Amino acid sequence: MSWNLRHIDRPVLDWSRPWSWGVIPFDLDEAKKWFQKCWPLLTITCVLLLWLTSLPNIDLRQMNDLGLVSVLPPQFFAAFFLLILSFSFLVNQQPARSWLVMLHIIVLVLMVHGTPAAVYETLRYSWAWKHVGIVDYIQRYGAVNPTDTYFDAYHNWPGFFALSALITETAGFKSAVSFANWAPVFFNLLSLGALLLIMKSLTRDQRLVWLSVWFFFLANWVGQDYFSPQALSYFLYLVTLGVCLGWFRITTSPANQGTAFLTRSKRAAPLLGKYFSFPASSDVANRQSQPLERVGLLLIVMLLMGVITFTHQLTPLMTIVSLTALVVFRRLTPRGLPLLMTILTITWLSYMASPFLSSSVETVSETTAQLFSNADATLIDISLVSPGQALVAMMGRGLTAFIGGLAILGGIRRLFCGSRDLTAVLLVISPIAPLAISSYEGEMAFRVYLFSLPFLAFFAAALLYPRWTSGVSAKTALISIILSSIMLGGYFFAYYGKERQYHFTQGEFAAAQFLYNTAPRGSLLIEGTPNYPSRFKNYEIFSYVTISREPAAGRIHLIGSPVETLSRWMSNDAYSRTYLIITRSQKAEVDALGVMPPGSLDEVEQALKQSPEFKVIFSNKDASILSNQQGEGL
Amino acid sequence: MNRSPWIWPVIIFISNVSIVILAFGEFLPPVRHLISFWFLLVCPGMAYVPLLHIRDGPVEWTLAVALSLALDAIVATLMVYTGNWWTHGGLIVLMAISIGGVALQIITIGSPRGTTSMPPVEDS
Repeated sequence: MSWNLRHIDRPVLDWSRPWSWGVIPFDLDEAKKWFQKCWPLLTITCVLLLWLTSLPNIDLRQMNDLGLVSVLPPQFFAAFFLLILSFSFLVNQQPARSWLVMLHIIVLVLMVHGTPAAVYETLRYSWAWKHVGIVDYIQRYGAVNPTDTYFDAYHNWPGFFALSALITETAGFKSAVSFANWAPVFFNLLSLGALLLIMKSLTRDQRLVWLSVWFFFLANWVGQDYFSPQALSYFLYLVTLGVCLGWFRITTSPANQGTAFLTRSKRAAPLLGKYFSFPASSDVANRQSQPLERVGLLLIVMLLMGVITFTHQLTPLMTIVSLTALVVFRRLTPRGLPLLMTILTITWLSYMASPFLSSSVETVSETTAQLFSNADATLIDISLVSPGQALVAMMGRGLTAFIGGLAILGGIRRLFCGSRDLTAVLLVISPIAPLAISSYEGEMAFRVYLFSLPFLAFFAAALLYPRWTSGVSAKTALISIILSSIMLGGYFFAYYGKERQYHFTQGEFAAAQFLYNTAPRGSLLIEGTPNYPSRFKNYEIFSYVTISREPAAGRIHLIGSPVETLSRWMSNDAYSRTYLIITRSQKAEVDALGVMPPGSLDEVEQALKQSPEFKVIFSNKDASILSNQQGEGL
Repeated sequence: MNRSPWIWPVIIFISNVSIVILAFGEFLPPVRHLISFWFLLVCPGMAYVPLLHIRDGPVEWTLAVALSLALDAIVATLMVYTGNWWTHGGLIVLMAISIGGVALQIITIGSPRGTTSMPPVEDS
């Protein structure tokens, strides 16, 4: 053992080396080497300790209009800043220490998305509860109802819900609520692998690969990663693209094939070749594979496309436009893929989803070819919302503009450095096309951003690492720290900014559970807003009226004379019983988004509680359930 | 370092046996949760993805999970549309799919392998 022999010659107590006074001889050079090797792991340990110790100090009751960010303790922010420091220096090193860099990104995902899952008492976000309700429906009936009144889209694209029902029952859970809270962590970790597959096909510079993925997670604020069909289908979409780009990409110039017939013309061929080869990529070759393996990969791609078709309405459209763009610009060898996806989608729409299509054709035709109004429909009217929510909305828009601006600069810099990233450019632009078809209930611009984001992040990262030889100095790491900090700051506001209304307390859950477990079939459930743990159980046996979605005149009348209006609504003989549920999260949504005058739900609740015509049948500090006196109660 | 070609066939076979005992026996809840997630999220895909000889760990795992989720979703959706919702039946189908992949892996052991890894990094 050479290490031991070296230390035998040295006195155990060396007065000139105070650090060697201990029992174990200490060698400074060895320590330096050890530190250089292990500092990322030490940093990660510190980051995790800081984060874990910060969690008990988060007081959700103190959350204000800025959402979760208003109650995060200083050590939470310190943990993130330390992670950014560590990542930025680590990624700048060559050769890249891939597993350590990946560990940093895993920790980022865990901290960002694990915080609500670890701190909240129940499942976050009201739509996640509704998705649990569809899983519950499949568990009870073993079937779907394509003509369902409330959730016809989900019943016509049931892939995710059937899968979740299978997982729930196989694992022995009673409800998907038991694991749905961790879905954002799960889907983001899955996306990490898919993004690596994509980025590695765009560049062989490992620093650019990792920084692109890092920027993606710092800019993905639109929150489509919860327990939802779009989260699953987005992951499958990324994998589909990743396999296509990794194994089936044309790496030569489109012109080399298009102008092949001109090779006999000694004058024209070089000229056209030079002109058309301008956008050609790339510094990456396809992954090598045997013919049979390529067949296997193609089968996987087709299988994924098939599952996307019956899982989500929008993702097939995005897949078609992305693959079509790649094929039209001769970036992809299997030219039949967009056609196959189109056939699958049209077949599904025509046969399996025809009930949904026939009921929605009017809405789609109204919004078709309305590119700008569809984009505008996504944005909330800042004049209506509270000051905190206005700031949150501006942060989201600011972060989008920031990553877009960085991407433009990065693209230009990469262009000047000689890289022609036509493939990535096509995949940034192509998701915009569906914006011309539908507003997607006011969400289309968010989805366009989500589908463009991996490639925006790639170009944004390329600003720092446009080529192999650039970005080796510590200055690049410093710029990376600054950019990451700015993005994370914006992300905290944009992603966590609505958590006052997105999180639900145990009291709210208890009220909803009481209502859905005990209200008889055929009851009418009146709710202030749909923002509470709703429709997660037996949802199809009730009818619903949402006050905030009533026509403006009806809402104003109800707020002006709640006892009279609700007394009339609740004495409708068409329903076996009628209940009104008002919760803390409904009030938070009303106050934050301006869907009704601030405090109006509180006033309605107080008026009904004081009226002899109503009785409180369930109440805790976060929720009340009321019924009219004529009803027999529960 | 080359991975033994027997690793995944053995793991998937053990996972199949475990899921039969735990899910069909309906006991040991915490272990059942873990084994069920493991089986449904990894096994059907990992029964086939090693046949592609991808020497990139994260990519191989990503493809395996994507394929597993796709196969699970297809089986579950077919059960929903045919009106034959039977969780154990779905599991049996997925186990058969996994065993089919394992059989293919075992058959191909010893045959010459191609590589699907990225070429060595060079400066462009």
